[in-house]
Amino acid sequence: MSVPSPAFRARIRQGLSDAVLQEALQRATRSFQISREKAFADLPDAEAVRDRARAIRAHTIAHLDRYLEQFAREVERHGGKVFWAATAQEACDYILGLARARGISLVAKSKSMVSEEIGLNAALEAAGIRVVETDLGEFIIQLAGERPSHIITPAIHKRREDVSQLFQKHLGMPPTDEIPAMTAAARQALRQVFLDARMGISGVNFGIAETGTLVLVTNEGNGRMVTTLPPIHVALMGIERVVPTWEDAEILLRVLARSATGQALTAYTSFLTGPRRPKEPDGPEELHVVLVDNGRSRWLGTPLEEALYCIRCGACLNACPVYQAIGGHAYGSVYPGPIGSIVTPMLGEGAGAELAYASSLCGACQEICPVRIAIPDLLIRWRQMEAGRLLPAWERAALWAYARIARHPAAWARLGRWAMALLRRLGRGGWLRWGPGPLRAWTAIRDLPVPQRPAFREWWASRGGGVP
Amino acid sequence: MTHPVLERVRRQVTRRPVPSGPVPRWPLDAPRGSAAALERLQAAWAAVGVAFVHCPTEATAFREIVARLRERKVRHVLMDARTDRAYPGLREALEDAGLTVMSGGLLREEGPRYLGLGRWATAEAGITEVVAAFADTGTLWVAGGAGGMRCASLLPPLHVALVRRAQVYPCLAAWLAEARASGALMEWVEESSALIAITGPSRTSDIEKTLTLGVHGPREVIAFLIEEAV
Repeated sequence: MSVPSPAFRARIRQGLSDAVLQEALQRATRSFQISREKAFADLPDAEAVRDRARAIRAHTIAHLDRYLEQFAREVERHGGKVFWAATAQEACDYILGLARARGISLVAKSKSMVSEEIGLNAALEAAGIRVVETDLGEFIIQLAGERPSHIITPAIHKRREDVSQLFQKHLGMPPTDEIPAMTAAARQALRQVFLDARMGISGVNFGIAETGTLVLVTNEGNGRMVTTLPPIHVALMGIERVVPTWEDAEILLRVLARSATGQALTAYTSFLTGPRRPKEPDGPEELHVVLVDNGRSRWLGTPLEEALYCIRCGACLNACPVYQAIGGHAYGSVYPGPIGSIVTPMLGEGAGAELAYASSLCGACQEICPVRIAIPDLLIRWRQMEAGRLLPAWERAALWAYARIARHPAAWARLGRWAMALLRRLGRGGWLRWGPGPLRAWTAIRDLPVPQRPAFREWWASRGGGVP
Repeated sequence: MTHPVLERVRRQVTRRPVPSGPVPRWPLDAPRGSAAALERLQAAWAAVGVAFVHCPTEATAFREIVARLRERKVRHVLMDARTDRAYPGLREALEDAGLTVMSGGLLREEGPRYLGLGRWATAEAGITEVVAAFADTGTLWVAGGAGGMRCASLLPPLHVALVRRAQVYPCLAAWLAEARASGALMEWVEESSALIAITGPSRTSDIEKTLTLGVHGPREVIAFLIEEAV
């Protein structure tokens, strides 16, 4: 069988053999789950809140045109500019064009998964614009020249020694293994970036349609810096992130931080509407909201649209036994973990459908998802769609024949008799340890007891039963 | 309004009705300013790392603030016009204690933008009033709007917040319900580019999941809870 691909297998092997990563993942995902449980235990009507959160997302996606249009109109009414980007390229081109027009040489960026998705940093850097990630985890990853391995904690795979060395090399920090000292070094370096940058780029957690308000959650405060200090704020938002009202946003906020970090609320939740008003002393002079489609809209109205309910909390990563074992990099995609395996092939050119096989379909992800996305079902849908493309012809033919035979009782019984006779002949000492042809891959790691006599059908017939 | 993206969305959406289900209870249901709300607020503040000082009157609060700032050897304070208006006499109390209060004009009126920012960034403390406080999460709800400075609760390592007892709501949902009914919500949105829910000091766990405070925003948040009605 050709799935997963050799490259994917290699990445999985690399993740599995990295003892440091294994330990970090175990520790981090377990502590995430404990704090999440505690946070939900303190929330009244927690299950009803999740139902409501799901209903809000489902309703919004079913009427996305109406809410997107309202959202865009309200952003503009409050003085913001809206750019609709059909593709990653269009989004990057717009932001690059804006940066060039305003003579920007330094950009301060807070966390945005969409920016990773569209490859924004590379596009800006290729044009000679310096982009600095200001979320501590993202900053570490950027200095290391890597890619985030977790949606919420991007540097989950880095040890303090790694961080210390990076900061010594890039920030001139004196050697230390104290985490507060490293954090202080990052604060100092990044504070200057916030003050100097003339453009700030952020993601968006929710866009409230009724007022054109952007909701952003951060713990470090870098999201506030980036959206407050530079004179230009560019907000990158997937078109699915809109919600109808403030009350809807409030419901989703009840589950977002609890699912993501086990907090009731993150340290900072910003509700931003338009650029600075005339009587306000600070805030950006310009606000640009870039609405990114990049493939999302083509899944509306299909069973996969449910994946667009996702609020990017990362809980399914922490719950997933496969993620816990292989880590985020093994997926080789911007969005890792169970939801990443579904979303990745929905975006852009649609590569990465083989990720649907990186799951045991145990259902822990669906159990933990705050908006109850049927993640295993959606993974199976991808497998179905991929099966036609990835399976070898002989296997497809075999499955076709199997389906025919399984529908005819007499043929089924005959096949059963032949198969049992064959297995008895291949067996040695009551065990089948070696199978011919494609069976070999299976028997290489398993022993199978040979079928015993009488077979069920024989036994049933001896009792005078009819067709079983 | 039309754009190829919006048109495609329009073509593809199902417009199916989705039952919204029952409205869940608020995270906390207690009257505004009630003893129950106050008790929960103080517990939540303790949990998220907000220090608090219970003050019977405004005058006590001003004295306590000056004392705390002196303890920390603060010399420059960022305080916006909104707080100035809400707490007459506070600025004088600070200045009498020898503190330099930075506030007033618009950022753009203070010369080139980065010069103003650079000066603001030297403040060792920022003082703000709040729109409300939310008891369930220990959240300070601060606003921009006329004279409302976002930087005061963001740039300095210490954020001092003044909260009146009557401003203590059980939760954000309760504030929203009231602000929606009174029209205040839409007024806030029109006049203020930012409403910020602050729940504890700036924090990160990005290195080995170890909690560290003050990574970008304030390391310390002190709330002064004032009992008396205005």
